[in-house]
Amino acid sequence: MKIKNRLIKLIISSLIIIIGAYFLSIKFLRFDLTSEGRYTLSDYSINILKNLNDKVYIKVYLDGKGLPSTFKNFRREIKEELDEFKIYAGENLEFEFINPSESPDQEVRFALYGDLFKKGLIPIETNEISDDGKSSQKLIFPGIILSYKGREKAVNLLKSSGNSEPESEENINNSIQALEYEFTNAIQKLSKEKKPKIAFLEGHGELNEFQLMDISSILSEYYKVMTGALNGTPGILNDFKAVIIAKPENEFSEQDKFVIDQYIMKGGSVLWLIEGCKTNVDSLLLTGSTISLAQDLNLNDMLFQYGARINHDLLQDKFYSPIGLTIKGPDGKPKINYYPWYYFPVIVSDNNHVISKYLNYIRTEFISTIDTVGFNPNIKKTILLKSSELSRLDPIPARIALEQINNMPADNEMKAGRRNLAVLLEGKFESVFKNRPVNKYFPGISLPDVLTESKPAKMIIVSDGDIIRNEVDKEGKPSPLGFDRYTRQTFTGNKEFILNAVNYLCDDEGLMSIRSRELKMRLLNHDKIINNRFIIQFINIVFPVLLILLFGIIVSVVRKRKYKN
Amino acid sequence: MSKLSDFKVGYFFFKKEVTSFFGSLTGYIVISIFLIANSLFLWVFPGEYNVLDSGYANLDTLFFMAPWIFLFLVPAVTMRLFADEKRTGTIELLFTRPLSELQIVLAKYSAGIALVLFSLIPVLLFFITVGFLGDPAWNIDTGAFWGSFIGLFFLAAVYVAIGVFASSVTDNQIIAFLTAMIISFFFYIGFEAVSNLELWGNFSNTVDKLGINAHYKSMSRGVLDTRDIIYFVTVSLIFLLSTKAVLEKSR
Repeated sequence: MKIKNRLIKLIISSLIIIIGAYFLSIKFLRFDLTSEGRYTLSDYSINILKNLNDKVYIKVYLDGKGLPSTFKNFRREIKEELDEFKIYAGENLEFEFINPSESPDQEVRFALYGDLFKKGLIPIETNEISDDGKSSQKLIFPGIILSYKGREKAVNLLKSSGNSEPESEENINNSIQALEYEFTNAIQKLSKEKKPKIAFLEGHGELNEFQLMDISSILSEYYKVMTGALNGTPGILNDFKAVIIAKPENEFSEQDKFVIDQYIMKGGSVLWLIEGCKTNVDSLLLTGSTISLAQDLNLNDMLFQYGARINHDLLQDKFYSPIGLTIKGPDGKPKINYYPWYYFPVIVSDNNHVISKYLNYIRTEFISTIDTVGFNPNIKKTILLKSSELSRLDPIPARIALEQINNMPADNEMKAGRRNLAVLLEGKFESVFKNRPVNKYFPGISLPDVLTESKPAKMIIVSDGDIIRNEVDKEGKPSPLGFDRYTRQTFTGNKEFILNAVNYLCDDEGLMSIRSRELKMRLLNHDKIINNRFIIQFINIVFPVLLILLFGIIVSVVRKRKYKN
Repeated sequence: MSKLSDFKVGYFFFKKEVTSFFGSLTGYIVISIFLIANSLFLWVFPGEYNVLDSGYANLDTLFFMAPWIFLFLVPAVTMRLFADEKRTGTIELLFTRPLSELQIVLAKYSAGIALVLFSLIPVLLFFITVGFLGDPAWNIDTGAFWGSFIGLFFLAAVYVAIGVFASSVTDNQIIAFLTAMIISFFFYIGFEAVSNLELWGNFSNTVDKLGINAHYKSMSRGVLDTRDIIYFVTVSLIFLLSTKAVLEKSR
């Protein structure tokens, strides 16, 4: 009887404790003691995770015993980040790690490889070390495939910064920093039901749909991408989150300018990709030379009023992408040779703004420079892209000939320094139609309807239009954006830059801010380890035990003394 | 009896436990084995736990291994707490003292925790080593280290509570050791393993959350979550209450 009573008492008090603990656990606080808040998710991500209304399933194709140690570390970080995501998403997020090379059957393996590749995961080759210490080349897929409501999306998690090995610690660290952004971005894209609208402008000789094919397809993952002409219709742009003006070649009418201006005054965002001069690459390649002429799009007054000027000049940069020309080889067959060509500058983004941070190389063609102008205190101007230190400006008009490949300017002639190539303007803009007779263009309009100062608005001005253009081959097939038809490599920075720019313009600052997260790389000094390996091992094995023994001796001595007294 | 003397009596027993642990050679052997095992994994044995081979200035692997190594250390420290007194009969003496069962349990429990903490002090040497080896030196994330350390403490607190309980149900130290180890093991990883079985359906997450690992994971990397702390306190409390019930029975 008594035993029963005690048991019942124990069970009841345990239940009370458990119920109490349950209620205390409904709300929770998390304290991230890591110095950079490494495991703290942004409110933006938390919000998206908490508002999921169906299950997100994530398959991570990075697993296996023989992964190189940097990738093991990467795998662990991925898991920890997903654990953290799961804290907020709960049942609505499931993930698993899959080793795509697990099957001993080569056919099964290759089938899976092919499947993953088709879905968009990019494999890399690494040295895998097996249990018996042998190393062998293996394919790994450091990426994830998410599914949500039957939709699927592949995300490659490994950043490639061009100049370093894919598995270098720096590269992995950059990739780790980007994890939250990549996951949140992908989940958001999959789960968003209604996409905001953006527009590519038409009607002024802008790039055509084939030349914008690649960027449109990427942007359409986030936005409803439309194309259209203004035809001087005021208010036609009002529904759009952002407007992209990609390499126009014809003059803008005052009517169209007015439409764009008033769109900005209402708080609209514009991405201007405007060339300072017109250069025909095809005629250069065909005839061996061309004349680069100043381009007047009738936009100067407008951009000037907003705070920037695109200069009529041509930048030559020592950091370039070479031009490939077909010549006759020694055996009489045609072959491609590469020559220095400073007119194809490659931009290395090195500032800390969320738009241009951690971008891969950006390829440009015949780019001009930009200056910021005016002293409007309401406008914040941020330079996003710059040339390299070794640059030079050709005055316009300039004759450009292929034979220049043989005498590109020497370093001491490249003294123009770092020039601005892309600028972000934010704030309250002044209308270019302020104090102007608008009735002239729009007979019906009454002047008070013309907005002269904008609501907070944003615009990005880039002095090159080719930055957003993908090549289209002879059969009319578009190449990926950033693909260089001469060297046949792809500069992924172009895509990243445009995408970031549009995201920024469309107010996705929450998402952008995740991108700016920075984690310190905490590495060990290899030299110190190599030089001190034995001593480190010795000290760390012997000292702890010595410490304990020393303590024991002191205790027993103290005790003996006590007894003596 | 006033509160103060209550506390004093409790403290006396706590001290007695601690000193008797160090009075025997086993105490030193247990802790030394723990320390040497840790060091070998972290610094000598090649493999994924080796800090020198990992190239990263952190002690993550220590906090990853600790729950496993504690599975041996903690039961070894706690096995004698009650079992020995039961075997020698001194437990009867204990009951004649002006102490409630709860006080006895708490005194033994805090002694167990103190001993485990004590065995962790030399681990600071590992911290210093990594600090020294950093590139640049001392780039180790101190906040994360101490966060993880606090996590380790909570883990130890649960293991010790389990150990105290296991020691109270038997008068055989070996059985106490094994029982503690098995229960701790089940709490650490068992729930997680069981939760993967099909039969739970939608509750598999809940079952997983009953285990230690689900709560230790984020703590081990320096993120303290109030829910995890509540979990550790709850489990410890229940085992201590159970110990108290066992003692009341044998009185």
